[in-house]
Amino acid sequence: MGGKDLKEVLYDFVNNVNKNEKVQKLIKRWSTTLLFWGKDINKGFILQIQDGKIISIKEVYNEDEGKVKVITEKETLIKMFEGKENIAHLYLDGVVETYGSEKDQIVLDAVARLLWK
Amino acid sequence: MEIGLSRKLKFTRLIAITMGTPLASSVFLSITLICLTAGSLTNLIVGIVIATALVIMASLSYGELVSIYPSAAGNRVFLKRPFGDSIALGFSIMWVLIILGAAGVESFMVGNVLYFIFGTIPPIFWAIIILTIVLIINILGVEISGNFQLIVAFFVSLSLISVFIFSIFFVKTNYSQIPQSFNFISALSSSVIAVYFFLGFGRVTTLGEEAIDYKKGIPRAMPIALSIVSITFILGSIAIYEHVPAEILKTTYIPQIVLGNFILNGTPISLFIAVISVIMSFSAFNAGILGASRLIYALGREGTFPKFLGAIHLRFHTPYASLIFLYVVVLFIVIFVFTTGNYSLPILVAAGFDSFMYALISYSALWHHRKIEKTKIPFQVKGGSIIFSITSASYILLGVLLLLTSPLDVSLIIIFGTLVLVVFYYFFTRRKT
Repeated sequence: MGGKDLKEVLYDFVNNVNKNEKVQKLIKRWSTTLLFWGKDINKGFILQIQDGKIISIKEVYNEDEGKVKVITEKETLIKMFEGKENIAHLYLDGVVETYGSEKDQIVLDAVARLLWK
Repeated sequence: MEIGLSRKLKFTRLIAITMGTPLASSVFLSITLICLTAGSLTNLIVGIVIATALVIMASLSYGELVSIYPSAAGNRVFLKRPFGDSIALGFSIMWVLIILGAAGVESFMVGNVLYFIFGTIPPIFWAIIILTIVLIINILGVEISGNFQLIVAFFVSLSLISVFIFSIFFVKTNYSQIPQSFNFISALSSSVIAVYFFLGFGRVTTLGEEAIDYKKGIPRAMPIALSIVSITFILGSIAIYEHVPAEILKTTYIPQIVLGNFILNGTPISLFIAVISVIMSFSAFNAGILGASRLIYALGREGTFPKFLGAIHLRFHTPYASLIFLYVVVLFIVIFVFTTGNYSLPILVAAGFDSFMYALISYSALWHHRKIEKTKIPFQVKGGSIIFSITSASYILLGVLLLLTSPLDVSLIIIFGTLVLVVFYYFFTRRKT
């Protein structure tokens, strides 16, 4: 199924976030729920973050869940999680839709930057 | 029922957020310019009505574009496909500079208003104190909730409308002394300046605070918000034109407070207007500086701007480097406006550049309307091709009219500023690729 690749890279991402010291320092007070939605596969994944740790991943079929939402094609999501695409660049190009508080969106971008710099 | 109510509230919040940036107290200075330009009450009203009609048409262009690119980096994304990256970048960065120019005028206004309320220290220091407070609040990441923004926007608008209606209908004026004749060119000249009333309304398209109904909610919220803003400032312009003599308008920096003095000839209503002005300034600062900082931050992250501008604060999770950069630029503008007293330059530059920006945005909407598959446009404007063409052409005319009727430095800043940025980014993007 199309969603499987995405799930794999997401689990890698979760491991990296939870193990990376710099990322942990940045997000130690951060608690939120992130939705990554693949609009071409009509499903997504909810990541629950508590005090900087990603404590669960859940597959969802409803776009309305999550405090911060990142919506784009599945392939773009995969490239994002593999660090092959710069989130800021995707935002400036209008390739991804991001919803949620500005602060949360910036933290998410900073996490990606620390992971793949 | 609860879902319906929640959606209505979210839609009302979108209206309030759209109103937030244009409801700035520096608009009162542009009202001064219009009152001095219009030549008659009829010209003034017709001019603002023309500007309102055109800005609502421009909002339809924004509406169709935001439904294609929801939550995107605004003008940069909207212009990129039809015009290419260098023009999109050059115009977007010029637009940020325009917003900073407006923030400089806003600081000038709030400095003068606070000096009226408290005195003690000169207006320029009040302006710097307020700017610094706004910077600190933004770096600390204090978020203003959507509901609070909603209350502030409607409180400000209703308060101003009440004061203006009172002054128009219940305070005696010698109408025989107020010119009523009509001249189309004077009305058009007023409408060019009135473009400033709506500066920054498109900020709502970049926010992406809430996903529900975003693609259709924003396109519908913008015309409603702009109509409310327009009614507020039409009434304000009429009240100031009727009650404040031109000789006084030429010398005052706080026309709205002078109006208060003329209405009740005492402090209570002036003080009330002054407090409303300060609230307007805070709200506009927050909207303008926050909106611009996100773009500067993303450009720093992308590598288009120096990398340090993409830094974020480890504890507060805010783009502190881009905020400090914006603060420094606004500070220079504040010093310029206070030392020269020339607030009209940033206002006219903003009105002129905004006219050209709306022309490009409307052309971009036309381009997307024709080239993009209809199923990929969630919000389609009926008769879009005709509306977008008329809007684009009208704004080009307004922009050219402003260049022709304004001092030379206004034209120089708009034309050379934009050209330099576009040419710079043409070579920059070519080198990058």
